[in-house]
Amino acid sequence: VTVEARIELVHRRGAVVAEVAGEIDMANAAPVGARLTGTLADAPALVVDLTEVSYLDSQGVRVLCQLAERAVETSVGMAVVAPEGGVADQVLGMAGLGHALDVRRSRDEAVDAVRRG
Amino acid sequence: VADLTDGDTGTDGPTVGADELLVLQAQLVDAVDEAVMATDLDGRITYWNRFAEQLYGWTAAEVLGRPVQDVTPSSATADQAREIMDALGRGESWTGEFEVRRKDGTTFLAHVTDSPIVVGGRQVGMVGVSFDVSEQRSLEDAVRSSARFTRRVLDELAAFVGVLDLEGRVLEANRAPLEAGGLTLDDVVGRPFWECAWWTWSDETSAAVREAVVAARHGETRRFDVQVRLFDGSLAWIDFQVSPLRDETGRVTHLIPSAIDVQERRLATAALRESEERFRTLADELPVMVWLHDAERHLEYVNRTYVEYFGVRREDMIADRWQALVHPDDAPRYAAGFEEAVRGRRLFHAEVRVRDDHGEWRWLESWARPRFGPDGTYLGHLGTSADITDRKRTEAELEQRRRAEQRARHEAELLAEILGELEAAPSVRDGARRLARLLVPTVADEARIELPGEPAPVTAGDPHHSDVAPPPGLRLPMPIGPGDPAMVTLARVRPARASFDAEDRRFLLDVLGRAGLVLGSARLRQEQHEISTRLQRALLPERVVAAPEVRLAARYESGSSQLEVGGDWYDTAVLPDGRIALSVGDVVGHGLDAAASMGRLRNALAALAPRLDGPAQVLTQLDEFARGPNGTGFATACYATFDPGSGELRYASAGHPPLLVVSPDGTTRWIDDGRSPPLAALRVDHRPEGATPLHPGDAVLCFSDGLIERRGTVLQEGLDLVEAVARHHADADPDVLCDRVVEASLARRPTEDDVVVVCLRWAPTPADRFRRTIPARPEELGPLRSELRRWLDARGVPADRHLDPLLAVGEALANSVEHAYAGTAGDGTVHVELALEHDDLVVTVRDEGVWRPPTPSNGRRGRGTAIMRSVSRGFSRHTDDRGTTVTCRIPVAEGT
Repeated sequence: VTVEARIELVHRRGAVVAEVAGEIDMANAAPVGARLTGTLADAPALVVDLTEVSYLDSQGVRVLCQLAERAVETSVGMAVVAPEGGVADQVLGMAGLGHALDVRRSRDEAVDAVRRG
Repeated sequence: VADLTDGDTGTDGPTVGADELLVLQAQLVDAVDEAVMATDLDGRITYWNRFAEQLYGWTAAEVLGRPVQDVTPSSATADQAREIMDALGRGESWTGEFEVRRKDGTTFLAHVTDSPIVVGGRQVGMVGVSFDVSEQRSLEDAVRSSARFTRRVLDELAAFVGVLDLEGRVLEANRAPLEAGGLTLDDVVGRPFWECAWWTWSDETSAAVREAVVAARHGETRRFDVQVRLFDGSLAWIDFQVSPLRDETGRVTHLIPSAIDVQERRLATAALRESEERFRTLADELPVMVWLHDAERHLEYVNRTYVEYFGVRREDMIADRWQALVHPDDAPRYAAGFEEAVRGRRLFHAEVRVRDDHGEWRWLESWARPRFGPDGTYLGHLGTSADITDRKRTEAELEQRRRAEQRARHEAELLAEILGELEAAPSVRDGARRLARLLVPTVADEARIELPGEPAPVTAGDPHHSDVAPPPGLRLPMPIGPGDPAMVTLARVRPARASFDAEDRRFLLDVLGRAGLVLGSARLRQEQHEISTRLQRALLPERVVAAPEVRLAARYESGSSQLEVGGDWYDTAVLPDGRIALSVGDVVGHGLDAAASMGRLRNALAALAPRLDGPAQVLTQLDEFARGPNGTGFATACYATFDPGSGELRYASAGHPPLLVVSPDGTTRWIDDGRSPPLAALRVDHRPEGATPLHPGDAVLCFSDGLIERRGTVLQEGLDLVEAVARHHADADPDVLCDRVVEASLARRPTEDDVVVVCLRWAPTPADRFRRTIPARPEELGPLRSELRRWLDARGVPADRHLDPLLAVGEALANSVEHAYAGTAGDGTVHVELALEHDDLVVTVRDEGVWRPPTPSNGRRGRGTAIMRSVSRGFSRHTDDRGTTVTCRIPVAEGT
């Protein structure tokens, strides 16, 4: 059994939404990060939706931070969706990353945030 | 003329004057065809007539006055000429022949008469008369030498030539017969021919010769072979005749007997005749046909066997009618072959059909060799023929028998193969499939078997197109027990293949009959197997007992072979004093009977166990039961009790495989004390038992020999495999352990026997502890999380409380993977333990690597630690020389 994380890209009002589902740990964080970084090139704005993530460890958090740094560098607006009480919300909270990432409670909110730039 | 001259110049005296006479004579002699010359006393030529001019080539003018010596004699006769002249000088005449010379130097033999010329009593000269006798002399020589030759030839002749007068008296006889008869001419001359010693050895012969002589006198020639006596008294054959000799008038003047020696010929002829006779006699006696062709290919001779075989007359055969006897289909080939042999002077060999004297066509084998005379001339062929009809028939019969035997052998082999295959078939359908595959392509190109009550046929080969047009084939029933038979359709579609004959049909009916019997019993076995398996399962306990601090699992796998199902059992029980009892056994035998026996034995054991003190007593009593009226016969069994209070395991084994103790840390040990003979075998007064303490977490594996025994492998291999699998899953749940052990065993080799495994694990805090040892590799994290989630579920920890322990374990493991074992290619292991203590979950993660402190730049390290701290009520990390241990205490109770 290997860790599985699925990523689907959808377009919402001019933003690319990457829906991530499954688990992210040290076994697959690197490919997940690479995949998400790849979307930055074509996306005017990126929303990473972590609603369906069932496990996220510090490696996954690190990848998200790196992605955010890259988005700043390439002037792509980026936000993370982590519903309150969900896995992503808890882990991001434990890792103390409120300042490093633009974390939103819902997708619409996140899309609005990135469109505003 | 010579005479005249001679005479004139001789004794008669002159009547005229000498000169006148000379002139006269000269005139005369000029007219004659002889050379006449005269000389004076000095030898000077005084006269040279005209013929002398011709003969010698000199004119008179040229020679007159010259010494005759210088003119006529040749150099060879010069001396002779002087003698002649001397003789003449003495008044003598000379006549003779001697060589003279012509003017041109050539010589010739001349007949010369030289006489003195005497005139008046006084010699005045001489005269010579000469003529050429060369031609005459050579003619005479020829005549003379011819006569001599003839005589010599006659004398040399072996032939007899004689001359008789008309009275038959011998006048002449040549040398050969005289010598042969040991006679001289004197012995025979003057005697009547028939009274000569040649003939007198037999009155008959003598008379025959006389008769021939008489006949010859009457002008008749008689010729016959007759024997003459030779000098040594022996007889020899001669070819004899007497013929008359006639003069010019035809009158018989003499009788000429003649003969040639024919002894050799007679002998040769006799020998030949004898040899030929012998050949014919011999050939007539030969059991083979003998025939003789001459160089012109005409049949010269055939022997009696030939004549009798064909019922023909020898004369007809010799007239070359033999060709009519040869089968018209064979005749051209046979005749051409013979013609070729004759032309090539080669050996002739052929087999041919001929009509014998019964008018039956039969096979002949003919051989003929060319014959050659002593000088190498070809004489024809000598042939023999023998009737090979029977041999041919025998050969054909032998070939047919050989083929029949070969076919029978092939059929027997195929039948054996088919039946052997079908014996092993676990079901009717599988057997039918095997049968179809074996029939193709050995017997047919396509096979299709319709089983009763099954819609889909079993096929082999390429039978799909038989739906389009059924190929020529056979459709035969195959009875398989009661009910409808299976229908077997076979087809031969390959072009080179002969269609089915009666033999094929007979063989196939036989094959299908036998195959049907085997399939029928396979069907019975199949049904019996199902019943046995059902019964077996029905007789086994539905579940193992449950007890605090002890986890139990058991597995039963029925054997794949129909013949070997049943007889294995397991059982578990909680004894009145709280001990856990487990038993595994194997009743010898299979099928329904074994299953029933097993049921009785298991029930007996279940009844006995609570009433008896220990395993040894239980097996002793069970042995008694097995021997009793409701007994079971030979069986092996293992019985063990475990006391969860003390951790003591007591066990006894009656001919059963040993028990395996597996500790969570991977150590294993076989325990095989307390061994005694199988039940209902050798009676023993006291069966021993063994005892061993288990440590918390230890598992005990007990199994039947089906797990470790495989045909063709060593028992030890099976034990080693079980041990290796158990060690690998040392801390697995008993269910898992049982599954892994059975899987590994079956993977090694499918078993035909039943397999039973029981596993007991002593888990003093079974509900409160999760303990795993896993390789320090990222990919291990996911599966471990799944397992943890299930364990947390089972412990009643709500799903929304899972994340904290998962994160604690995950981050601790990640640290180990990343730091303790960095660069070691995942060789290290990490021990993970979770224990529920009241409302807290204590997570311990221990590695055996060298901890390297995080570098300041590594933000993740801080995040990992932050997460662990965040989820824990208490968090500690302890590193020593054995490794690092991380401990988190996480509150999981609801509402915390």
